[in-house]
Amino acid sequence: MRCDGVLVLLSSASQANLAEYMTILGIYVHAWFLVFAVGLPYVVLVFEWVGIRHRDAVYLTAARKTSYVWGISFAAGAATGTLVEFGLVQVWSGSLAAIGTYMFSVLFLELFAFMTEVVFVVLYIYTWDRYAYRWVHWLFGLIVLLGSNVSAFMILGANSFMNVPWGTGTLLDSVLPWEKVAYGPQVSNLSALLALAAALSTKGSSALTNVTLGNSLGRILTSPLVILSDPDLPATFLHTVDAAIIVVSFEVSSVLAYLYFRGDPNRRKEFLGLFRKSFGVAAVASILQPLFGDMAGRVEYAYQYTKFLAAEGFPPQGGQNPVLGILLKGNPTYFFPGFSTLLAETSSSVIPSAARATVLGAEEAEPLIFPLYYGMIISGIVLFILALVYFASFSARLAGILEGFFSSLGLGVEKFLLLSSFAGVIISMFAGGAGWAVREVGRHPWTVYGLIPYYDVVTPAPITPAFVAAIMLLELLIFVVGTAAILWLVRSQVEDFLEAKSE
Amino acid sequence: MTSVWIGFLMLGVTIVVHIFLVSLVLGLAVMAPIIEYWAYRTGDKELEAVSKDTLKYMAVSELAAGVWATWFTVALAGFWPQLTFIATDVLFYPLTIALFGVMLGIPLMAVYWYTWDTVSRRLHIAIGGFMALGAMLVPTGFNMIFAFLDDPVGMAGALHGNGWAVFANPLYPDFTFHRITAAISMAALAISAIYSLKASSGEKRYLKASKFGLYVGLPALLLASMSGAAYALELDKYSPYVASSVLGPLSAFSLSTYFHLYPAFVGFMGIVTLIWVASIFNILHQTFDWTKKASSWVLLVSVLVGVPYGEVLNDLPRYPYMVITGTGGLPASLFINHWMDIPQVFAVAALAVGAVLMAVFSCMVYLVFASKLPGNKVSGGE
Repeated sequence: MRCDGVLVLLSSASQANLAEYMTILGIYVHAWFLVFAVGLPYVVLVFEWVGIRHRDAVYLTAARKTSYVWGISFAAGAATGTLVEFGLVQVWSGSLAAIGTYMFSVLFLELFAFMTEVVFVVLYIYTWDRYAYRWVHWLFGLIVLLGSNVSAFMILGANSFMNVPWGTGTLLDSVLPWEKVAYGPQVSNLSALLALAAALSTKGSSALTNVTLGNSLGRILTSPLVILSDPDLPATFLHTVDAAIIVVSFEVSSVLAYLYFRGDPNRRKEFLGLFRKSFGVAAVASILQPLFGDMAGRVEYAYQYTKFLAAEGFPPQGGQNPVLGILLKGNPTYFFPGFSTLLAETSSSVIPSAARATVLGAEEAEPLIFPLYYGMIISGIVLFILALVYFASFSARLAGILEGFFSSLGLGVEKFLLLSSFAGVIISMFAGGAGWAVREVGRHPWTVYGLIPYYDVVTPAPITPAFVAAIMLLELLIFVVGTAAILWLVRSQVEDFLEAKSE
Repeated sequence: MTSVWIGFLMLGVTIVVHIFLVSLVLGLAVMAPIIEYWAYRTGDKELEAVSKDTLKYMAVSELAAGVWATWFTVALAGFWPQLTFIATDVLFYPLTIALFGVMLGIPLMAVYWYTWDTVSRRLHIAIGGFMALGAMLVPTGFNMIFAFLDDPVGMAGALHGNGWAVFANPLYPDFTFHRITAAISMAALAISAIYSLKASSGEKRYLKASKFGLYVGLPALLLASMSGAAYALELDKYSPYVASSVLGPLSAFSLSTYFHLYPAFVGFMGIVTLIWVASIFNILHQTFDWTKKASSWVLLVSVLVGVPYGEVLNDLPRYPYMVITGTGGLPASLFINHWMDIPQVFAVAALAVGAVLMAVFSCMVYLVFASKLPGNKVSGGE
């Protein structure tokens, strides 16, 4: 019955909506594995650093065991990434127009980072104890870390372009009249770009089957590297990677906290030492996250005003928000124009229907985006407080005050931090998932903001409900199998770690 | 260099490396459960260990193949965006079959690895069988691209909603069968050669593994040779431009082609002959002396060279066309990215760095799996 229900739901959706369902699931499954691959190197390298520096076999063993989990999550991330990329090209085939132009540079440069990662992650995992000079091994790990970060930077570059199409100058101003700002230098042939958008709008992605289209439009982009100067890119990169670090370091901390409570009581000191290092990584990342979030928020305000309105939950007529007013305008009484003001401006757009759809889409999505966005903000605040408690615990004076406070709750600071790591996992995962949902849903209906809506780039090949159901089932299968493999590996590595006290 | 030639070269190099790696993955995916089945039938624990080793090779090859799949996708989408669009649109069903294969094969590979010794042997072999099936679905779908480029059957039908029309391509069944059997023979004979070289140390399990590789590889080689010959005849009939370039005087046509690859084709036949001779020698000659060692090296090198060499012969003759329509074709210049100038330095850097990293990766795989490193303990599953 449930299966029938899903099929009924799917059968009522349009071709583009069906494609969206499987893409959303696919991207989240990919992100699930990717978070480990991006975040774990930070924790592993800290463990190994301490182990080498202090010649501490416990830290080295912990680093080694954790690196195996890193390896398998990297493989799962790489495999699902290939699927996502291929799915993008096949299901959203019209987006090839963007991939073949603006996004090409970052996707191309990402290959080098990806390849470096593949080579060095295998080298790192298979060369433990190979080198008398252990720093060489650590350096391999650092190269993987750099590779995974450059890889993330490049892939997020493509996503940044979808949000803030840099290099199109003032073109968007004519489509979305409220965006009175230049989207970077004008390195695009605007007439060609508009002709392409018009062709996609008229014929859907089928427009690309006309092989003379390429020749007739001519050069669309004259500066292939312009995407790298997109202001959304550094903000998104720092915000996203930092979120991955927070999630993973809390995950590692929670495993160590579990060992502290349930493992050999004689080894509590070891577990606690490791715990404080991984929690330290989480704490540093949590302290930095508001800065990165602020960067991302400012870009959103400057270049995606409708998403900003929806995320901040402004009423249709707009309004004041003292905090935002001070942060963005230095004026607590600043009045932020609302959706109704923007709707009035849509008539001056060169494509009024598109402008209208943008405003209405954001307004419609507000009930979903607003709670998710503020859920993310509140989560961030909670994690920030946890980080402050962690740092305060290093100060004898502050630790004393905290000890007094937590004793009244029947906990010590140490125990509070240990227990809070479990909450940290849930909270940070929620924040990451919610943040990404706001970013993507808030752009609806655009694939590339202000230029290409999602329904213009979906494949013309028929996407049936049964097909979507089958693909989503397979995506879930990958998720379940991959997660089970990671959990299995974590368990077996923990058991090994408990058995072998030191190397 | 023109942008068309750079794009062609970039795509060509990527395809050759990718096809080599995925052929290895496919062959190993088929070999692992077959060896395990045989080990189960005979109660041979040593052979079972060989099966597990085969899976390790497969996992590492899969990782490298995945990188090149990404490379391939970016090269296609960047240099040939409209061609890629047409391919994904017209060949939607075959590509979906391939995608299903990938999505099925990858998790099943993990399941196969992690359920070793934890589920009943029969169930485990069945999982391996499904993994092999998933791996075979990939070329079953993707090979339609190559068949389509040589003979674009069903394009009009597909553009008007009949996506299944492309399956009427006469080149497709033979070519796909040839690719799959060639991949199995490559992997099986490579395994045989590697274990044959290792068997000189006197370990019995290597000897068994070497023999087993030949038992699987030789029939696959026979099928690959027969289907290859049939494919050549069909090319001559349905894709004369390609046939003229490759088969030269053997072709019924004598068209003027950009590349004259007949001498290269003769070289390819020489490699195939070497594979046959070395395989038969190894199966007949059971003593481990220098002749067997030399023969095993010849077998290993020739099977590893054979697949990429064959792929060059498959792709290069189309130039300067991208899609062949009988005695001519649609020029590649029609499909090259006209929307943006891709800096030449990008392509040169890609080819250079790709080559260096592949070399490093190959050395590393060799070192890791040839047990040269003390860290040769694979985490999990052991």
